[in-house]
Amino acid sequence: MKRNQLLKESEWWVEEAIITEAQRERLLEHYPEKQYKPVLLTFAALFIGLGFLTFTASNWSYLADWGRMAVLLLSMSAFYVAGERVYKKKSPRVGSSLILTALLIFGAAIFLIGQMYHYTAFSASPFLLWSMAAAGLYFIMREGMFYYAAAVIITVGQVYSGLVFQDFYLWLGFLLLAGLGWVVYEKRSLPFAGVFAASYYIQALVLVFSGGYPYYWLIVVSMALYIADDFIIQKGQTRIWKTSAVVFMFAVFFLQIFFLGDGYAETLTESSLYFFLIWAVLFVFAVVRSALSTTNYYWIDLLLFIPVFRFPSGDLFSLIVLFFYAVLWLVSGYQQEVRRWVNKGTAAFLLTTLAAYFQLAWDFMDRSVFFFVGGLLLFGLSYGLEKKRRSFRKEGEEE
Amino acid sequence: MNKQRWFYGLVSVQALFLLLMAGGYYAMDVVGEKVVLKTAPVDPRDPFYGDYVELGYDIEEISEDQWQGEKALDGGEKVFLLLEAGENGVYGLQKAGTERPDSEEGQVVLAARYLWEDERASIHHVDIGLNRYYIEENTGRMWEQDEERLVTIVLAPWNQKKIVSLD
Repeated sequence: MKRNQLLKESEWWVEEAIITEAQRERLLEHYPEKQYKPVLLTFAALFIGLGFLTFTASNWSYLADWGRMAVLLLSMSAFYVAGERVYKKKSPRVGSSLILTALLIFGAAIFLIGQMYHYTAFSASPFLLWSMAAAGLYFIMREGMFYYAAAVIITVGQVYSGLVFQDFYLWLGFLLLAGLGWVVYEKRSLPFAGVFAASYYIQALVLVFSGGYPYYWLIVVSMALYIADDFIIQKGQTRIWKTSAVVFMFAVFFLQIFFLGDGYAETLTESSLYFFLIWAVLFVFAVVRSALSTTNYYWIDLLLFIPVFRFPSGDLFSLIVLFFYAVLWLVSGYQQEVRRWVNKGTAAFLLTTLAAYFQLAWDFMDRSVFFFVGGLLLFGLSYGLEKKRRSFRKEGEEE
Repeated sequence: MNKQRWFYGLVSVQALFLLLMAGGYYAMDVVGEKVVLKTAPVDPRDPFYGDYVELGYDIEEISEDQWQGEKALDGGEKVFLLLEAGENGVYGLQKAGTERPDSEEGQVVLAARYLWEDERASIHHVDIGLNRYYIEENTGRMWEQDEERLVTIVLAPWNQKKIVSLD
């Protein structure tokens, strides 16, 4: 109860002789008047700090090395201390943004000092240190902002490692899996899991393409996240890791339709023994899980983890699998009357048709005819699907 | 209270790390070993990149008879160069390989990253990680490519190195 409210109410309590005046005063002592410290002051500090930083940035080349060191160290510490104070006493939000500024100064300082003192990095290790600081802040403060900061720094560092060193930096991957993965496991937060998944796939792409591994390792990587979803599941929540794995694999299949032409598939068949070993273990595990689950339809998702590249004319095979996938979700959606499945099947069906059309008709049709016919085809298709969906929805409402 | 202590602990570690980065650089001058190397022309032709010059070194090109490692190495693998001081104080390459060699008096061991093999000229290219020399902005025009230069570097016992000067 607020003090003002209590002040009014207790007056009445005394009049009604529920409590005495002395008791009233003692009660009010427990609700001290709030000290409204101006948030403006904090913003003023923030602006002064940022002004100072931009000023030094523009005069950077005139400063001696020790002067630069002093500027970096002092501004970083000042933002950290101010942030901690404000966080505790006034506004957690403003406080954590001050701390975030300090974290950014720390990152900038690593690179600037590295440049000042001619350090050469052989890997993305500056990003590792920086993201460790961010993750450390999260574990101490438990503020989501620092989780996101850590995820962004880790991801950017990994992409940097891939682009500059053509190398996957193992420790950043480890920090994501063990550090942030643990947070997701512990907190079961949907946005945390989503950000984790985004970083996971970006890093997987870096791993596969900079390490020179065949693309099919992505199947195993996304299947691992698909299965891991079972460990962070929470009732009533979107299964974001499963969904992301399915979307990712759908995209992979979509590209396979165009790239798994004749000739390419054969080059992939070497050295895939380990892949099939891991794949088989995960796949069996996934099948068992889906067989044990209460809904008997999740096995349809597993179609997307079929390693089609192993078969001759994998492009056609990808197309067939995608059509099966779409139709199975459509059919079981109608049967079980689950609107979400119907929507999923519809989207998959439209995209697959589009891919098939592009793949089959692009080469031998006149361009204008191609688009014209394609438009008509999509129009007819969406009309049919929409009609079916509406009648289905009506039935659902009537029941 | 405990949380506050952890927080300031983390902040101090960050500040300490930055100080160590700077400190290590200065400490190298005292405890490090000075080595003079000769530059070699680099690709691209214009080595000037605004605030740094691109340097290549003589010792980064290893001929077949100096090479003692495996035949086919992947790019990015760590290799060790054994350098020895010649007359006039410039260090030259003795041998290179994937195993760390023992160094005697007047010799130093330098770690490098393997780049690629020029099979036609049978030369192994490596990168010692000192290929950028930062200079004051907009003063780079005085660095010309074709001149051969001497670079003084210093090696710290804690596996760090830096360019001291470029003559």
